[in-house]
Amino acid sequence: MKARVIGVFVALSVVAPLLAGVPARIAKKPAEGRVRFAPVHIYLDSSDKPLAAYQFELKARTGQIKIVGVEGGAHPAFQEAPYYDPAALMNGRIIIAAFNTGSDLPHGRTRIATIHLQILGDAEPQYELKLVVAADAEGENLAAKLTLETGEQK
Amino acid sequence: MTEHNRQFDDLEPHVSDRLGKDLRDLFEPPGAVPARIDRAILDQASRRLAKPRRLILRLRWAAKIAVAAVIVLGVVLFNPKSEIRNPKSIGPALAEGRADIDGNGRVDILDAFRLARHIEARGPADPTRSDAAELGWDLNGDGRVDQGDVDLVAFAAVRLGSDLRGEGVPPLRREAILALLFLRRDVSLAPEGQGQDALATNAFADILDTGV
Repeated sequence: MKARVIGVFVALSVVAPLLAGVPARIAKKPAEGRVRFAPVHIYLDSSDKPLAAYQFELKARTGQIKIVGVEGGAHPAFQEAPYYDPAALMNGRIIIAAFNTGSDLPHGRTRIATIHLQILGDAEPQYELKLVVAADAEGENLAAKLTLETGEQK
Repeated sequence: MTEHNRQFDDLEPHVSDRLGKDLRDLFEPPGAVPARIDRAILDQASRRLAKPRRLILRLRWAAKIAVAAVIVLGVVLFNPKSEIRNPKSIGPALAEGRADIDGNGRVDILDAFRLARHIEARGPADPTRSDAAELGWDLNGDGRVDQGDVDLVAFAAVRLGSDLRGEGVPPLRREAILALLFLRRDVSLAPEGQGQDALATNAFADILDTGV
């Protein structure tokens, strides 16, 4: 009898930590079954000043999204993929930044990045976009305006 | 009851006195066992019989200790916040303090931008020159301030908080790995006589050992 109790106890002590180690997100399933992919284009308007560096943060205020990819901007100075934390992929929040020390820099409104998202469910997500910093060629802060557009059209 | 069975009822054991005496003489022990010998035999027997019981008790204790050890080990190894799984390195404040190139109290892309502009203005790195300010900007510890350090600062700027990275992840470790990928790509960074792979591997090991 005692041996049986000890056996059950040992089995529980091995299985329980294994179950506890399973990440919670594996068990978490989207509320609704529909999954779609959509790009979000980020634009920055530096007015008449040249844009040399930017950093912003994007997250979903409502809706369930996963970031699946990040693409560079339209102007050659920012065409390469920007800096971002790979931990942001498959999550709903990302910080993106890029700079260029060259002299050929964009002015006015320009697309600085495109973020590819996986959207779970039918609800259209509401995004929160925050400009951390934008600077000109001398590294001086710019009063730039950051906006986003959704859809395939760039 | 039949006559045949009744014949056995009369068979009471009648042993004559003489037969009894003869039997006693034949089977009685020659003399009484002394109490001392009797006690010694009993002691020896009890000692021998007690050994297996002690062994069983020891095995039970060993089983209990093993169960406790398995529980503790399981909790330690399978707990996502365990420091054994995610060893702590130097503090994030210290690490990011070194990446704060412009000293404004936060690490952002302008720190990387400023460092990149400094490197461009300075020109190709001179190994014989040791600029005091530059020594502090050698974040990957390869003895030079170059694009690898710029990438490290930029990755520090876009690093997400511990909510996505998990507590205990060595600060800037991911940035160090990503920066090393850039280092591998840039052939001109390797000093003469030293292979690019060796350089990257050494720097990688240093960063993992010390953090940034």
